[in-house]
Amino acid sequence: MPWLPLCLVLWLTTLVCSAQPIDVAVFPGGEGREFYARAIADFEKATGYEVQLEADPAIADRLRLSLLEGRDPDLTNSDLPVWRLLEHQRLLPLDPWLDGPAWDGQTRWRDSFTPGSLEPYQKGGKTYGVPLVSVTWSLYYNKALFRRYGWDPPRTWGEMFRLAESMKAVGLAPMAFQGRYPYYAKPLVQSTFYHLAGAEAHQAQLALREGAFLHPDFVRALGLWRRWSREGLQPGAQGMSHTEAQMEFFAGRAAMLICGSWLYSEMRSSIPPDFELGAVPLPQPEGGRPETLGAQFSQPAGYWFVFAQGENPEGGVELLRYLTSTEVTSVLAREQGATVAVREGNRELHPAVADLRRQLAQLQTTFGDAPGRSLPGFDQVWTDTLSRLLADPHFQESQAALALEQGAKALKAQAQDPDRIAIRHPFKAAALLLFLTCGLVVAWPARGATYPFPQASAPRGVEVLGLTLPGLGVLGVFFLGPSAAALLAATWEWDGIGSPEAVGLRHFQRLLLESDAFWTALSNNLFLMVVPPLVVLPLSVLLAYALDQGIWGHRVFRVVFFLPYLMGVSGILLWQQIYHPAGGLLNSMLTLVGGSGWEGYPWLAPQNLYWALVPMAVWGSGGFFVLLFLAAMQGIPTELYEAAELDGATAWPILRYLTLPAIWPTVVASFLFMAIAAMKAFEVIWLMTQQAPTSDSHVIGTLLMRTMLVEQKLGQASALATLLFLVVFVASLLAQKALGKAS
Amino acid sequence: MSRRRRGPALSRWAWWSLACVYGLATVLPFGWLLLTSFKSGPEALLEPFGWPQSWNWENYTRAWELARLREDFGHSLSLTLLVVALTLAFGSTTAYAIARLPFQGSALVFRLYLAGLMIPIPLAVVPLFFWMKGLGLLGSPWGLALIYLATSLPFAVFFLVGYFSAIPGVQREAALLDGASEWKVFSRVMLPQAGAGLTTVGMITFLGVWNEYLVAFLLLSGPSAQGWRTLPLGLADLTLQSQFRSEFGLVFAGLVLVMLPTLLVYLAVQPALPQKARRGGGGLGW
Repeated sequence: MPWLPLCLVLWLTTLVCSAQPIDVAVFPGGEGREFYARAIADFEKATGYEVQLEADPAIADRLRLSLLEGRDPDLTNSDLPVWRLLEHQRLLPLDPWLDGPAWDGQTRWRDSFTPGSLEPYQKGGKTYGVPLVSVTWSLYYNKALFRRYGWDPPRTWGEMFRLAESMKAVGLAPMAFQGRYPYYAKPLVQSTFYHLAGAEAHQAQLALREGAFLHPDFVRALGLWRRWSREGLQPGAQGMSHTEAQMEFFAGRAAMLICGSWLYSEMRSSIPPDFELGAVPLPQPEGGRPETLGAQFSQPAGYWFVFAQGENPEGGVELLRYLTSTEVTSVLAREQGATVAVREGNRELHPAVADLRRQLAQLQTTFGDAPGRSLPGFDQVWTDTLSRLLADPHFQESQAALALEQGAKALKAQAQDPDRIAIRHPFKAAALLLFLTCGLVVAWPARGATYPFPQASAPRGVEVLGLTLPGLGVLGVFFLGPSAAALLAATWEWDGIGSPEAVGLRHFQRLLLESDAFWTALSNNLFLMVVPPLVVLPLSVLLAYALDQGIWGHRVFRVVFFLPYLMGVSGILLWQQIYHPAGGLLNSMLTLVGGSGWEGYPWLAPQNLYWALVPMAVWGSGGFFVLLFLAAMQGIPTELYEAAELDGATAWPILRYLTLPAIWPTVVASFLFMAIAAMKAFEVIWLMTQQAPTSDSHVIGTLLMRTMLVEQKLGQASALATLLFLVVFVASLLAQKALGKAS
Repeated sequence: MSRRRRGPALSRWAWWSLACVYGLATVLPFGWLLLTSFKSGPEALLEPFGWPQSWNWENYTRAWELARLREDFGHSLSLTLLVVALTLAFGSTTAYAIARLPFQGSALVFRLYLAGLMIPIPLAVVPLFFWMKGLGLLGSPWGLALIYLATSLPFAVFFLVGYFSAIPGVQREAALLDGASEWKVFSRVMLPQAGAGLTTVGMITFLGVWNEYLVAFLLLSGPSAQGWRTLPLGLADLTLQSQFRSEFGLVFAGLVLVMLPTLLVYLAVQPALPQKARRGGGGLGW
């Protein structure tokens, strides 16, 4: 029987295939890792599938990296470049299963979801994303406080403004706000606009139709929010992250809060046990359209996708069917107070969020905005506009509307004609090129200048070269080689998914001539190159001079000063807490010494962020330069000091006319050293902004990371890196030149 | 020998107070960090400025065990020690060869290292990712070690070349005349004299690798790393995680755990670091 081996092979293949574990990448969010681990264990027991679970709050970045690696998971709920993946058929359409039975077999799977909740990720009549939790946005309020003062939760903007007055009259902040993430205001603005102008106008905005953002009702909605951000938000809200702001609300220091329905499950471990959580729909504008009354803003979040080219897509679908079953979703609703997107699941919603259930019952339809739906990059325009509206007192609502309109227009133009480059920064580009050229001409090392060591009379040959080869090999393969490759990659365009395309110098033209982001980032680098050194270096000279005099305990001082320099990443994370607006070390101390104006001062809001880095730089690097200057000072012969003292000179003149000139080359070198380090800055901004800088707060390093990971423009990222390299290279050459001259 | 005493006592007092104020500002965040690391989640946010109500040691045990910092700690420590050892070995031999045994092409070798000193690491990052993918080293600690070695070597070579060329050649020539081999001269005569330089390079490499975030983030975040990560990644994960759970005591405990080794290493090697400091004896006259 010749086909027997073939059968055997086929049988073995099916065996191997079915044995592939289901690979699940989970953003644990409010539900938590434990919830998913438990559900998956039950699923494994019930079906015999094997599941590999990866749950991580930073899963989005990791998943983007594994997409670049070419290893798709089977199932994920992470934030994804959904629309780009769809272009490359990397996601599985779920309709064949949606039309089949749900896990419990009572209904069709499709019908088990709340109405409208499958729409956000549909394309070409096919459904790709399936929701688990359902996110409606509400105005939360502190019931006990409202009862004590006899307030009613506001239903309209007018009521909310009046309420804010009486709240402030009793010394209470009306609303806590997640100001570090200003897009928490977007639902409020969009919902207000929806109720004013109706569903069609809202849809026009989602489609980025021309003029959609100039709608007078939209300007009015923005204006309401602008006024509220000045009259209703807690002082210091600008500097607060979401958990910080939410803690303020639960601590009773602010009476209201805007948030999605994940609030309770996100914060449940920190909510005081006697806290009574009230929730009402987002406030309606006066004069809204009656037909929109039953509609509530629902932002699609927590959608699940199955990858078409994973190892076990069918298994992924099975697991997804199980997760969206009534059985599992009721657990979420019952134990965590999460509203779920499965109708039957919400029956046993946790009593603490009873108001949400009431709200869900009245819900007629939902509307919202899927991230990245319009055009990738437009979410950033929203974030920037809302951020500026919050921070800049002169930024009017009409200007904000115009900024959104122009942002939409620019993105659309770029999508339609990727080769077109608008020339917006001709002079800056020319200045940078001029600097680079002049720098290279002036500072290019003369022959032999970089190699100051004596050549022996009889140079040795191969055996010594051999000694240096291993190190050289490692240097070449793992550092110099890739760096050179980056210079080439900068002339290509590649999203890491499709196939690369040669584009010549287009990336450079785009960055230098058109990109506002590039120039903003570069000017931020420039700030870091100039301002912190001007504070750090003089202070370090003074301190080194103090230590050089052998003051009491100078050896201890020397060690203590240097300690912060060792901290690296942990130092940054520590300062993030020091700057905490409501209870950080700095604000607590400032209020303690009497400056009540500092209460809740938002140090890390975009407009303050860079100044806030100055004390941090002093703390972090001051000690290093003290040691450097101290070493230089101790190279000065004691006799010079003795002679000066004999002449009757005191400390200041000695510092000014003897010590400073002697260590001047070290000071200049330190300045350049700091400037070059500032050009390369990455971690400090990346971590201080919780890995999500606004366009105003990027430096080149973080912009590079964003371009590579979030926008997945690998060629443009390389072009950015090339420009960064050129600036650092020229600066280093100039530094060497200056050092050579000084010594 | 006492370092100079200059100026009237008043001026010395002023200098001393300046150092004290700065020293206090330096230490204060550490003290606050330590206190907060013992507080419970809500307490850390609501009463950030004060003694902990109770000493929550479980912040530490949870950071160590649950947040997997224990594994990360082992990973980071072995990776860092490996890279420091290799950097010192390759760095010292290469630097010695360049400074003391001029060979054909030594100028080129030196300039290559100098070039490495002037290249910001982000330049290499995008190709490096695909390069490592091609070599099958993505997510592998060995791949990461090789990159760290490559990026640490330029400074090591540059610094040690200066060190070796500053050591007077007389001893070397004397030893060579006595019939010692080049290797023996290097290991017995020159290396011991460069002890302070090697300690400095070792310390700086240690700090660089122990705290490195960007490359580790890119190479170890994907599925091929299978959860192998370094301490800075673990710490950043912990911070992110705590945002969703508001457990700040836990983060602070993690921060202390990451800081501790660098502090200990520094305090241990600090006396061996080059310091031309003259022994000062009470400039204030106490």
